[in-house]
Amino acid sequence: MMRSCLLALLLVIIPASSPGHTDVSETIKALSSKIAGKATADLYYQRATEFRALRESDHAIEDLRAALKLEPKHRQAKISLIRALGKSDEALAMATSYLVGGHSAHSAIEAAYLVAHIHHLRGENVHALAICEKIQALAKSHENTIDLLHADILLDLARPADAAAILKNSWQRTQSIVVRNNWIDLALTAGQTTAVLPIISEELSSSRFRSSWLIRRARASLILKKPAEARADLSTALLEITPRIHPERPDLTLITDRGLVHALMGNPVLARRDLEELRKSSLPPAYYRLLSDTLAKR
Amino acid sequence: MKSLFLLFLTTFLVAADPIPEFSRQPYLQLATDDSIRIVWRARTQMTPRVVFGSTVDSLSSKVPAAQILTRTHPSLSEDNPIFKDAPVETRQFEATITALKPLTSYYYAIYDGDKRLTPADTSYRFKTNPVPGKENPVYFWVVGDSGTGGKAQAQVHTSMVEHTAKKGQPIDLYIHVGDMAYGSGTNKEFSDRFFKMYEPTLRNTVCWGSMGNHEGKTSKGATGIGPFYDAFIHPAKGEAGGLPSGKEAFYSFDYGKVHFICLDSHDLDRRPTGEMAQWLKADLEKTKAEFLVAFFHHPPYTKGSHDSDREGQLVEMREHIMPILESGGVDLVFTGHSHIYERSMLIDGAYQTPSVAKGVILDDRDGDPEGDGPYRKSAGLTPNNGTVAVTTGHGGTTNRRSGTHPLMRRIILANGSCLITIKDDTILGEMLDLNGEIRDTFAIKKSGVVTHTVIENPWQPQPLRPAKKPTTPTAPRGATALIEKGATWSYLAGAHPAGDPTDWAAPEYDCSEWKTGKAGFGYGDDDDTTEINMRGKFTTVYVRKEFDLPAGANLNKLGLSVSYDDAFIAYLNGHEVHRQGVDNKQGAEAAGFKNHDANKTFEYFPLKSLSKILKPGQKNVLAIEGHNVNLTSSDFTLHPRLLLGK
Repeated sequence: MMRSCLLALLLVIIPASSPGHTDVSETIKALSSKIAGKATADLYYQRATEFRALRESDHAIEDLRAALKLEPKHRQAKISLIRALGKSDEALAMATSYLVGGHSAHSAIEAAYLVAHIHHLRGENVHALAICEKIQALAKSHENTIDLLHADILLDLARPADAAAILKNSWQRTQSIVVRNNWIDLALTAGQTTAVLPIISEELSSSRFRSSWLIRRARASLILKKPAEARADLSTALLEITPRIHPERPDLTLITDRGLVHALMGNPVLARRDLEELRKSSLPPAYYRLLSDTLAKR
Repeated sequence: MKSLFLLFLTTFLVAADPIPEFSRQPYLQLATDDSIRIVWRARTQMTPRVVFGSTVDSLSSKVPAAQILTRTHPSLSEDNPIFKDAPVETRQFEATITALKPLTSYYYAIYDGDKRLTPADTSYRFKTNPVPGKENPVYFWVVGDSGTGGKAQAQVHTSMVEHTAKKGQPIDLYIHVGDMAYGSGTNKEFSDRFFKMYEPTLRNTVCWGSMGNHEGKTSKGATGIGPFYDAFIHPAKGEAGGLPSGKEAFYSFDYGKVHFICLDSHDLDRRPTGEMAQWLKADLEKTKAEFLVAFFHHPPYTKGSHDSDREGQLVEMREHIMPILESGGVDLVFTGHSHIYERSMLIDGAYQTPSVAKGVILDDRDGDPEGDGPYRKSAGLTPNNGTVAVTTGHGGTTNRRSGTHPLMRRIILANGSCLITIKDDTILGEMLDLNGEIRDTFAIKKSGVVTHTVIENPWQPQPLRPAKKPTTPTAPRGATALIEKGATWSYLAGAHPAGDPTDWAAPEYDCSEWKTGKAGFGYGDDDDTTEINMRGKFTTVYVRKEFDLPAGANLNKLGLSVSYDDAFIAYLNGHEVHRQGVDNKQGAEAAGFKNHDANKTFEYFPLKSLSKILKPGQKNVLAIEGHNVNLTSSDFTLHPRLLLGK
């Protein structure tokens, strides 16, 4: 009786255990101990996640492989390993085998996206495109991320108008502003201005920072052979962008915008300087593609 | 005044017994200036009805049946939208009330057919937001890393309830910066550690959530699928004032002149190329708010239980997302993940890794209106005009500090939460601990045009005081080495010995399968004869060696002389005789390690009470388990000697 009372008292006094995690290294150590005791695929997967947090990708890959050795169908480990392996043959082979394996509709789309993404990274855009087209046909309510990839692939294949059409549909379906803005940029690349100019005007009248929209309107003006209007918009954009740029550690999205302004205004030296800054960053070239393409054209 | 306090307390703390018909009690979501959602769950099918009105006695308006959505489990094959992780028979009901007046209080009741389920009390109420852009004060609560279901979490909640009741001012909204349902954010963990815990608040206050890494174990930001997304309804379509993100993982909303931005720092692309950053840039370009508050889980600046100089998500949020937020004019950034309260000075451009104070602090005073005075910023949203970053991961779990972040003005190790008031031209922030005490106050006054000059040599927080090094005795002169420096040992690396934790240290243990090598053991520092490739793989090495103990040896003069990095436990004939830098347990379960550098020196540890352990004139066994403080440590050393003094 006494003992049970004491136990009850302890339960009241002692707060419930705190399952919150601690430092990543300690979590790795705790998982390593568990793995040393009895290794499971989940434990290896969890440790891989922690290694990834420390940006130790070699260790993460090692653990993901160990997880799959124990449990070849461990879905999260498989997807994480495919992503970690980038555009390698192994990544493509794994993703393709995952695609043909049996799974839910959602997983099938996820696998198809992975395969298309890897093909795209490898520059195999015809293969990538075929997969995206299949997703568009079979799964109408897919994530807009797939549409953005699809548009990228079409742009690589020099089909900006088709890319714009994909994103226009996607925007109407998902209402994602990222999709809409990418659609507008691609439409302008394809030389289309009619559908996008009303949106650009509306955004110019309702936005706090207008430089992105001034650049878009300037691109439209150049298509419509109105260089003076384009120049006026670009000058205004530059005035807005300049004070927003931190002198030592700038927001790279603004460097991209400034470079584009310089390129469109015919200042290749300044545009190249911004492009160089972007190239020195860890960002993929696709991020500043519009700037490099514009510079190349002009 | 006292009666007012009691009224508020009664209103807030009407937790009563849970209403049995609900498997998840009613809570509010997605408030705007003219609409709100009331959400609840039941274990069985019901005929849901919701009524509301401007007084508790007159709930004369009815939510049309078409505006009450029912979600069911996918396996039921019913023609309903689905949710993923709950018992199969569970139903989630979401009543959307529209055409409401801005900034107006309403009361509501939920029925199953004609049976009223919620009691007729004033705690079942909601208040619509002010019209975006309209002047109106806001008072909100920010909590992080709370979801333990434990006592500290409950106390943090109670302290907020009591504090706001005493003040006579209920909160307008509640922000959770993630890790609200340990350990994996399952449906059950959400119910037990979030909804039950905060139920009296959630029934009348909207919680806007950002996903933590623990919720991320079961919910995915890219797809919006999982218990987190089942529970929360976020404005992915720009319903609440921000731009449509197309994903519930990141979104924004307006409350009067304040624009709130929620990001997913856990499982989405954090680079400027990613959808989230593209949306953020567009959203910041669009908003015409006068105050900007961002919140997400992983802190860009912390030295609490996590280190923002080491961990990828934290580094990326700082290097990629903070520049976009600051060039957009952000005022406040709330995060969690690190179990500590850390509040920065007024900073700008602090994106380097590792973080440094030089060149990034615009105002190094304490920001306390009663102290050095509030921080100053220009009116409206001005790019790069100063940010206060707050790590508020102290909402309910064990706190920890691993160092001193150079941008922080306040570092507090206590459970608590933040209460923020934005009124007129001023932001006032308070940290309320679990005992109801305000432990930090800061303010940002935004008025006129303020130009800052970066402070060359800013104030710096006190470094974390290193533990005093104990003075250790020196080895006795003329001692005989029973085990020499550089002796050959049996060792086990990369695994733990089979059996009970100390079996391996006993004389009769068979270690013939172990490798042999000369001491010292380890890596890094160029002080090891037997190199062990353990970095990133394991942290423990076991060594054992037989030695002859002379008959008649004075056992009171026996001691260990060890060069070690970081910690060890020594056994003689299977009995623990000394532990150094290990707080708890042994072997695979050892925990609580302290950093220690070998520095190519040996430290002497006299051993006591050995008479019942050792066998003079016979073979004896010294066994030692060496521990590295963590997997990523740059070095490890274990080099023992056994000395017998005269």
